[in-house]
Amino acid sequence: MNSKQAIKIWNQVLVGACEGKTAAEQKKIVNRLEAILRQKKKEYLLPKIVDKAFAVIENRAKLEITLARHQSPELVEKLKKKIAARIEGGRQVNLAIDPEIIGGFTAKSSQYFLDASVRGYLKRLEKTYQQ
Amino acid sequence: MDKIEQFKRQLDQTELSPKLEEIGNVVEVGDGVVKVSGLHNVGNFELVEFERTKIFGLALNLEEYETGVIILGNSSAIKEGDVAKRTQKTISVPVGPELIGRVVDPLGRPIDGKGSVNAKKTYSIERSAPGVIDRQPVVKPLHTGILAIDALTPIGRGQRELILGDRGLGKTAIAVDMILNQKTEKNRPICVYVACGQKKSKIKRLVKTLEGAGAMEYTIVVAAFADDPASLLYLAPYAGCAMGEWFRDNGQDAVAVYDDLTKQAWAWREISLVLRRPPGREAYPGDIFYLHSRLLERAACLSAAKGGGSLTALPIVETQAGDISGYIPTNVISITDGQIFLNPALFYKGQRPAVDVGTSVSRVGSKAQLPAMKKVAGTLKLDLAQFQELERFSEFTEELDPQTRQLLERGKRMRELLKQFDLRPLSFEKETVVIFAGVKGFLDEVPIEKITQFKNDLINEIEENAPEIFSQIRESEKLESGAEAKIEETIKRIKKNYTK
Repeated sequence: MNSKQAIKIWNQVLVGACEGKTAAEQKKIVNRLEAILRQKKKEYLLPKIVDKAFAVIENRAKLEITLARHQSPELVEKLKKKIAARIEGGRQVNLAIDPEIIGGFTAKSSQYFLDASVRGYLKRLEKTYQQ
Repeated sequence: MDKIEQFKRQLDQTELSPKLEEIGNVVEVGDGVVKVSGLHNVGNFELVEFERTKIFGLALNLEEYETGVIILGNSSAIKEGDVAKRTQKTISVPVGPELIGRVVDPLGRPIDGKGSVNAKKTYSIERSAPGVIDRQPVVKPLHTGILAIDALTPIGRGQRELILGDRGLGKTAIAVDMILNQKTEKNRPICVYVACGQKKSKIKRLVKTLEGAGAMEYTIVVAAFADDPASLLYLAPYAGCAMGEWFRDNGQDAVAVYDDLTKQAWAWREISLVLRRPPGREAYPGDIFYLHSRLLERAACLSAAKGGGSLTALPIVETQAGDISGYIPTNVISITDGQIFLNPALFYKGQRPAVDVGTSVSRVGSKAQLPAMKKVAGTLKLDLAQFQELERFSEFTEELDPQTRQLLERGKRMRELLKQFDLRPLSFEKETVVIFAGVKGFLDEVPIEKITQFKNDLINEIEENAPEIFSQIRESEKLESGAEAKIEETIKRIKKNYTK
């Protein structure tokens, strides 16, 4: 196995092990991985594995909600809760405003895209009539 | 007013609830293949859409954390980080009579500049083959118009007959002749010509030839060119097969020519290697046999309960230096119901089409011949094989008994008789008369160099002065004794001009 393949495999293992864990737990897991790599005399791979794995975890934790215009904080909070119930992940929510979606909202995580915008409805309607 | 009402009704029926889509991100871009993270629930052979470029891909490698997707378009437009969406659809192509006369790509998009194909139905390109109960034995002949094939290795509707040979020996010419010959056939089948990895100029010429002969009226051309991505080359035969299947399922006959499966195998090898699937013999992946078997098994003659339609498969495979024991040729030989082998030695000796009688075989055989052809060509294959043996033997000796000498002379004339020019297929009744003249020994006194001329004169004479012979054979599909006598009479009359 070459270094590239090793990084890829360890990276996937680390993502699986660290996802959803607290910072302290994650630190423990990384320390254990470092010990294993040292045993295999491959500790030089650790920075690359960790950087890549945490970039993936961070990306998976992101949830981007786009609204057509600014809404009250109560409504946004309610929306966040509702979306979190449908889309897993999303511990780090970013709010964006895009008037192009006309109305409603869109939510995008690393694995899902929820389209509840007026633009999305119109696009689906257009597709139906084209068919 | 009606239209507004209709619009309102459609609006009421349209589902407008929020749409949750599964997405993933491109993490690696290779040659025609990308790796996508996410897409956890994606299915094998599911279509995936790349959001930014609107290019589609086909999910093939479902791994624990990533999915290997082959790109059905320009892969260089896709960048790392692009969003890929699941479509929850398998890849499908338009099917139906609207495709007849059109040239389309493997995704069913027109490339002939004649506007969109307004097909009402689509078929998934990966479909399972009909089961045993749904089939019936192959008995209806598919006339190719080529004497050497119709008499010696007859093809039946629903059969799978491989055409193999080195490059430039006329494999495509046989397929094109077969298509042209269907113009005058009873129960004309719809022909689907699948060009896989061919040059654009060749396809342009081929379409022009078909158009010129009026054969595009019943032909569909599916083209994946040499410069297309490997994914399209891989899909082209399946797409053509699905288009032919529609006719089969609707009680009609169809023929699919796959030109050629060697290039499809190369494309699949390329994809598999980029997807890092374990390479096997000659670096082909382990499922290279399945690639062709699942395609060719879809050719079938359906039972009467299923409409009685048929799909005949004529795959073409290229050999290297006449070696039919190569990996892909042997694979496809074992899948098909026979093969027509074009021998380079015969080709360079001027025997065209260069069909090697000894190596070519049709497992359906005379069951797929009409009574008239069966009657005249019954012993032809054996006689020719005997002649070839004797000819080899005679190279070492001068002293031959008169009977052997006569066999040799007749064999040479028969070989000459089987020669045919490109794009000039003969209808079934003409073939019957020509072979009758040869096997009955009427040509024994005609000089070898004048056999072709004699053949043409015989056909012209019957067409002009005794057309009822052709029409009788065509209608009854038999060679009655009355017709035999008339043919003999005509032959004797023409022969006077040829014998000294």
